[in-house]
Amino acid sequence: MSLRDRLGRLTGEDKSRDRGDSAVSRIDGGAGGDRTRALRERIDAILSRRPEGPAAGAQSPLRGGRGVPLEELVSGSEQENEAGRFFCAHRTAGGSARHGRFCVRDLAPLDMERLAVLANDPLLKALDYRQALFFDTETTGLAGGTGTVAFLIGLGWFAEEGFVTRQLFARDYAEERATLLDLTATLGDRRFLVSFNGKAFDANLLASRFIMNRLPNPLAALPHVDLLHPSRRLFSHRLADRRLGSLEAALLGFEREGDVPGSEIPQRYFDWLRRRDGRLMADVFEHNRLDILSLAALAAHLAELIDPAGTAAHAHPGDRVAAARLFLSRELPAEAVRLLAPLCGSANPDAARDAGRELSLHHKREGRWLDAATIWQEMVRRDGDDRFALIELAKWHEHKRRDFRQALELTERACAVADDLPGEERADLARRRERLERKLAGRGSSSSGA
Amino acid sequence: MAKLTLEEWLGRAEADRRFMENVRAIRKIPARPGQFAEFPAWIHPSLKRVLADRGIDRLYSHQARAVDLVRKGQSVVLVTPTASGKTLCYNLPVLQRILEEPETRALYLFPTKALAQDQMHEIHGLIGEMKADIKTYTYDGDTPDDARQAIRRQGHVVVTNPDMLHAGILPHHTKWQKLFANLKYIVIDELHVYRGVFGSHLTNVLRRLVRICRFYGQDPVFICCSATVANPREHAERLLERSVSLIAESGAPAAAKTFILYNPPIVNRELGIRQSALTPVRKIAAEFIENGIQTIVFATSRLNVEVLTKYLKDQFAKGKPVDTQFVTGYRGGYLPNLRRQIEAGLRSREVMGVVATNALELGIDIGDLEAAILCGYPGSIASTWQQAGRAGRRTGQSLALLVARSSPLDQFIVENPDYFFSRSPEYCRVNPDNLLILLHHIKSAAFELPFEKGETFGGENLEELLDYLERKGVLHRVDARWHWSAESYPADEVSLRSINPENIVVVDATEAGNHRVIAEVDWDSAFTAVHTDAIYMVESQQYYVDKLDLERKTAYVHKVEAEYYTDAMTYTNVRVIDAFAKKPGREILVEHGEVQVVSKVVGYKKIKFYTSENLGYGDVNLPEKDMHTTSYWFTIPRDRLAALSCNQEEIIDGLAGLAYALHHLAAMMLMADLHDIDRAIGDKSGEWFVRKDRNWRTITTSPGAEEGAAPTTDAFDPTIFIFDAYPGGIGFSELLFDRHDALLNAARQLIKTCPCTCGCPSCVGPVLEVGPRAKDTALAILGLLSG
Repeated sequence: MSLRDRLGRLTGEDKSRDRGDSAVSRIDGGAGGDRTRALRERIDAILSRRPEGPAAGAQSPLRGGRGVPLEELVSGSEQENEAGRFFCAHRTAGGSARHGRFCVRDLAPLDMERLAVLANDPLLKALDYRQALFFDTETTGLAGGTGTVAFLIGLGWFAEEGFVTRQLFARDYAEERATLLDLTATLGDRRFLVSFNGKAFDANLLASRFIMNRLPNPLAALPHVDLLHPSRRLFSHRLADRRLGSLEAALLGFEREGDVPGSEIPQRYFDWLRRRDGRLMADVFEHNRLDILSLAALAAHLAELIDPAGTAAHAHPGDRVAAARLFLSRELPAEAVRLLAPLCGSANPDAARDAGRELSLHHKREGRWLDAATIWQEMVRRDGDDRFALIELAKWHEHKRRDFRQALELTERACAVADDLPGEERADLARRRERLERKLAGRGSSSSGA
Repeated sequence: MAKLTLEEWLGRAEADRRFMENVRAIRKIPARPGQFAEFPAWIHPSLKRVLADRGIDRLYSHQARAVDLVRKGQSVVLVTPTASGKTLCYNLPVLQRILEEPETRALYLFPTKALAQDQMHEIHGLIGEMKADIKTYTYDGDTPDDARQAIRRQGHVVVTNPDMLHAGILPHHTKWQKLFANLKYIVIDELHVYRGVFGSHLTNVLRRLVRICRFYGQDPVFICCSATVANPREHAERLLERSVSLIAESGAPAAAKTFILYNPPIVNRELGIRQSALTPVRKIAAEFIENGIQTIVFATSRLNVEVLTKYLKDQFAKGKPVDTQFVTGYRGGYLPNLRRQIEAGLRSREVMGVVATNALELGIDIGDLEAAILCGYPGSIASTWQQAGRAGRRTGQSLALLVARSSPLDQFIVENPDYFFSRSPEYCRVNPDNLLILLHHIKSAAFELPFEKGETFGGENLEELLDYLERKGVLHRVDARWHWSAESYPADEVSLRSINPENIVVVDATEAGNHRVIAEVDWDSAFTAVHTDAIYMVESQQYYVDKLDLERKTAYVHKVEAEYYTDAMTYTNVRVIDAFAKKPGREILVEHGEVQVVSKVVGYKKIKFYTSENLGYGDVNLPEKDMHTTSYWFTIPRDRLAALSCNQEEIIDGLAGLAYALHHLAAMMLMADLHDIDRAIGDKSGEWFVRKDRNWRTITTSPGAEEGAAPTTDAFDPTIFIFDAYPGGIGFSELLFDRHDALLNAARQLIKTCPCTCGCPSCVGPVLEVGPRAKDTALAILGLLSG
């Protein structure tokens, strides 16, 4: 029996199977058909828990009609290098081109000091923003592992005439090697990478692709500004969704129209492999190109946001507080203080309170108690129920000024608004009050404090 | 009262008539002196020094041979008993090579995480004492994410399991570039565990591993260790698909050992019911522990471990407070820390009694115990010897005591001591080219590295399979290469250990709003165990199944106190598709080949507890299961049966009883689980088959067949099928075909020597199931077959 027949029988796909044996012809009845179907379903379930293959392509909106060549829809051309051919779309966005609220010419220069803070990599300070390679890949899946391919590698950089994007497209798997060689050539003298989630995903995936193609990986060991991490730190206080597409809308004033959802992209490529219809890929090229532009715009926005000298007037005051926290965590307190000082008087009460907290705690850590106390007093003046300020002031009165009466009064005010505190903190507060009461009662005796 | 030594206890026991009445055999295995060889000249001085510090200044002969062959680049399989120093056989050449060439990498595979941990400690100790800069790590599901990168880059020796290799390492081989580009040795311990479905998967995982090694320019040497099985070399060569040198003679000294086979007395001869094995085990274990004889008890289930532990703890807690560690359980579910603590307690003799599952059977170091009590036959002779080997690993007298349960396997073993004590008759079998298994791994392999035209993978026509997968849309061919072309991660789609990755979850919905999962049942058992209206039991709590929802893969149950349990009635219908071979020159047709098996649960019986009274019936409406697999079968001519002085009903019962015995014995010979194979009686066309029905077994026709005259045994030649319970077959059938005569002889022996009057669970099945004359009839049928 041929392998094909055996496969057909095991998977139940061979509907017209000839039972051969004369003694057993009976089983081909209705029940037999059901049985075959059930087995097929089950084996399909064993073989793959997800639907796969051509059936999924049927959902594509672009099914039917004659295909359109890619060249007609994407301005690009076939390129060739020593590893073979591939398709390349090379474009320049001129200085006056807009991306959301930005003009391309306003994106540069990028302040390398600020990028170094964002990436927490001091090596970047010695580099020039024109040495940046922005990159983003479109892949055959998110599962990772050696079976996932980056079929479209989008690159971008600043040039005299504007912002250049170069997209390297493997029209089938055999062209991957040529795209990787072009990536190496395009990287050229550029010295660092900028991406969004590229550290965890794209750079790893490309490293794997270079190994699979037995090529040296030019990206290894380059400084890498992954904008995902600072974006998380700066915007998590107000943006729940921190994917690039959502940040664009919220921060860059950029709205996409008719964008292809990222989750559809792998299937688009699988369909493309079979049908070679440019319409499947044109949207993917545009999606990727916009991602690269957004990377540049987001980098500019973040650098601007954390600049203590810049006014960043349009920036959300909460973002500036988060920027100050970023400086604190990078052990750059002077910059943090410069950001926080004006924010303490912000018209936005949340930002003013958060800035007051950060700045006062910073003063406290540095031993500048009076500066800290001034802020706490101002906070209490603005909001008589500010528990944080009340407690800090109480500590200050108890331990520094040894004014237990004042400390007790502040503690009692804090206790009055402590209902929503977690049990442990409420207990702390109660203990403070008891201690202060004891101290007040024991005043005059020799052991006044502990 | 003075404490007894083990010798004194044995002396008394052998003089005790009531004890000896139940003893089926006592074998005294004499001590064996060691055979030694000098260290080879090339051994690194610091290795030699740390071994000398441990009192090892020469090697056992088998160790010397192994390290020599491995040094020459030859793959080896070692078959040696417990505690014969097999770990040195691989640690020595591996460490030596790393000392010589620090870039060298080695991969160790163990079937369980616990064993991997244990080996890690062992090799860690050696390295620490050498003060060498050699890094060893375990890499498994418990490895923290932040440690993984360092392990990939720096680990000289990476200790893992096949499941992790399959799903976590091979599909990410580029991250392991450093390992694969320098991989010189692959160690596979407990090779005998990889048989049946698991072994068939492992062969394919190794095919993928070798393929990846080739990509990085490596061709590593394999060092394998196995318990005693009938075909160690053949098994290793089938798993590794390369030639392997066998080292089977152990040079390690062995202590004198007494091995006792014990059969608990019959308490009800009518029904063939024996005293529970737990009773004597508990009594004897308590005596040993009381006398300061350190004892390990092996139980066959987690439940029995808990029950026995409780009994023994209670016994020693009586009157005086005892250290809770004095007697303890040990099984898979215990947390690693607790297990390490128990292992250390055993070594320091703070733990005097441990009740364990086979989790302690494999090579975990627990020192030398004096007595091993096996509560039930562990399922294979290899396991029995391994468990027995836990007592008296090197010196002094030791005892192994096997207490039989009433299952046919247990009974056959204790009633046939010669069978047991003669060389291990068990074979390890794999069928790596089972199409379903092969296809899974071809997908995973394509994910790892595109297939090139002209490549081979397994014994089937690869190109045809690749074309098939391309048609399915998961591969894409460009010129002469097939690339993975789907979003999924194929290694996640298959589990190496279970036949069907789908499980049914049992949800207790007694309290609305507080549903909780109480158990998981594999897909195939679900149809009989948790069908709608069934009574399902977990830890002696009964649950009534409200609904089995196959789509959601969930059975909803609620707690009940019922006076009955349910027993599903199924029919199984086997049709021969293709006979591959038949035994020549016989009147009885004996064949093996490909079959179609259709099975369906048609209803259930309600059976009252204790009285086994039949309280009624219910219907079950579940889809049929249809499977192509391989089978072994033999056909008994109807005219021969007619010569027996039995009526038709009795003949059917006799056949059913015979099939019951053969099924159990076949599982034993194959070292397979009972569920790995199944049985059916019918004719070869699948037109007639025997069905367990409301009233009794009847002969029936397939559903959909024309209703005709009531079928009788005159209508066809009955055939007994023993088939592989896995789609596509797993290679058991051919072996059973080869061993047909041995199998029938064993069945005759089992049934003939069984002391029950007319059938019991130990031979042809419970008399209430198979009828009053099944035992005699089965023997009569066997008589026909030997003619």
